[in-house]
Amino acid sequence: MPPSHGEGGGGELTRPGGTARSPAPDPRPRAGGGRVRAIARALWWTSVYLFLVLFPLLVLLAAPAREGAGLWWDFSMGLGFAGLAVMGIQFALTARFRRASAPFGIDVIYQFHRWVGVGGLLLVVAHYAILRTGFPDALGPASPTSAPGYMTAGRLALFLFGLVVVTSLWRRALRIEYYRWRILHGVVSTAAVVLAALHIQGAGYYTSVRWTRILWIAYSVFWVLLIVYVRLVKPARLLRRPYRVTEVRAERGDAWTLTFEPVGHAGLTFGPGQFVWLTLGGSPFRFREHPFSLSGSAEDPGSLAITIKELGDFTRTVKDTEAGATAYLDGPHGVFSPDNHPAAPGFVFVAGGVGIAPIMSMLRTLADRGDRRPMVLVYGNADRESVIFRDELEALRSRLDLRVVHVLEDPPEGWTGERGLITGEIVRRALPPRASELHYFICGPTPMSEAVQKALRDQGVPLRRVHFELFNMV
Amino acid sequence: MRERLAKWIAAGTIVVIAGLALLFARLQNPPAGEEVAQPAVGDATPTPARMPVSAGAAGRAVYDGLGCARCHSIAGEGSPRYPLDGVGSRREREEIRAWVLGLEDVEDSLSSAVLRRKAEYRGIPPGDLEALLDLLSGLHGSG
Repeated sequence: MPPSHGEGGGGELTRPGGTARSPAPDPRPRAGGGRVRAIARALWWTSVYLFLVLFPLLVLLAAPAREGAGLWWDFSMGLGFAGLAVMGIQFALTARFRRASAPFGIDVIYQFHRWVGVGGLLLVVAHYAILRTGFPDALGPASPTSAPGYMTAGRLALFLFGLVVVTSLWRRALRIEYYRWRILHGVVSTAAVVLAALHIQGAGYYTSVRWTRILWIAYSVFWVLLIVYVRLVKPARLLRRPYRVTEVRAERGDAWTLTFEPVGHAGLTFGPGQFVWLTLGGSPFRFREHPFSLSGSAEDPGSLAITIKELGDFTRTVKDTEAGATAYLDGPHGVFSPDNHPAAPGFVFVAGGVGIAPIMSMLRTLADRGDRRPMVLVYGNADRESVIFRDELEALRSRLDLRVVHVLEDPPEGWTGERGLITGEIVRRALPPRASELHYFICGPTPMSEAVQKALRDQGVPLRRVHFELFNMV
Repeated sequence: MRERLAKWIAAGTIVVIAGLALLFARLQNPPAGEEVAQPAVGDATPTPARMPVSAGAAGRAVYDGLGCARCHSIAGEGSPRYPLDGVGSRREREEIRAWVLGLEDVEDSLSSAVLRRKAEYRGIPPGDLEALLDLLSGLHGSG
């Protein structure tokens, strides 16, 4: 079943669906700004990121401590400072600052976090390798019993940065359970950054001038505040905004819909296709949270809901949730929403299995708004009985200009529709006229998503009109 | 496609950062001819510091024992950040003592972490300290 929407393998960052309702009259996340404003925002946040990452190097460039100590030596020092800056700012990338992630999509931010982390490790490794090769005496003994603390802190930080990257890139191969990995990732990366900062402080290079020292301390304080925000402030804020599970409803295809209502606050405002991080049956401080799409109408005030398919360790336990249980919702997040493309002349949705969840949110919302633009839904499932929301989709056809193309792997006798897995060919057959002008929303297993993207590219659909999100990272 | 985009942006970011680190190193170390070049990896070893052999043995043992090469170099061995070559020509013995121990005269020039480390040297046996000062005062080579 769709690995990209089911939390397969025990809870990687994937997105099963959900339905959510908002009490707000206009739940659109941020449509009307236009492309120029979106690009301006993207450039602004990119500049902020680059400034923060390059800050130590800019300080070094502005105020060289003294005469050079050799090209390789100073290059190594620069790499060390920059490597730590990259690793320190990693906390900001996954802090889910909605304003900063909106121009890109939080999935892209997480992917960037993943790969820039690898790059940051390479910088730190290069810092060490240059010293090891060219200046072994300056490194001194490796044994913690004879090496000064700040040097041991540096070596330990290097090891821990490596550990963080290896356990993230190969979590499944190493058979590390998702929750354990999250705790390991948080604790080890925090320890590595703190140790690296102590190493720099202890080494004292470039921090001996008073004003650069003050700047460096301010920069370190910024990291500490960032970590405090991510690990303490944010969970504390979630704790003050609890939700109550009001219903656990069985759907077709081993899926369950959970509905929520805010307790003592106004709830959240979202756009169709957005998602939340859900913490169920525990404190937000435990970081046992999972991303799930909101699958309800953004126009329907009332309780929030998500729909989850039984695929992994966590999702299999969802049906045991009892009404009245406390939940925490961090969100909404994501740019996978038709509200970001108000000028679209029509939509084609392609869903595999529980990938229907965010698309259901879009269809319900568009129906509630009385939208009459032409729409096609290509929806793949194992068999007719496992088609989540089958009956409601039929009903939606009368409220929308919607054509539904079911694709069944194991169709019933007499089935004349599409069969097998969703392929580029099936999508091509389903495309309406003027296909290149429509906007496409794809949600399902990665092979399906890639096949559809390729087919659309071949049909001349511009990339900017094809929307999907990446949620298989660790 | 979005994954590839994120990967390329990340790679570009790292290249820019590494490039800036190289720029920093280049500005700190202008090519020979513009300013006096400092030793670098693979460069020729600088002119060795001259030191009296008698002072060298005992002082060198203290120098090695304290791990001075982590922050300093003599004749290209150790950290090039703070070379000690020629320190005997530049500073009086008591000045060198102040720098070794992080005394009041030099504390404005050192970070608190370095000062703390140097303060620990005040506990070494007087004979060892004098041997170290003999070594450093005897460094009259280039630098």
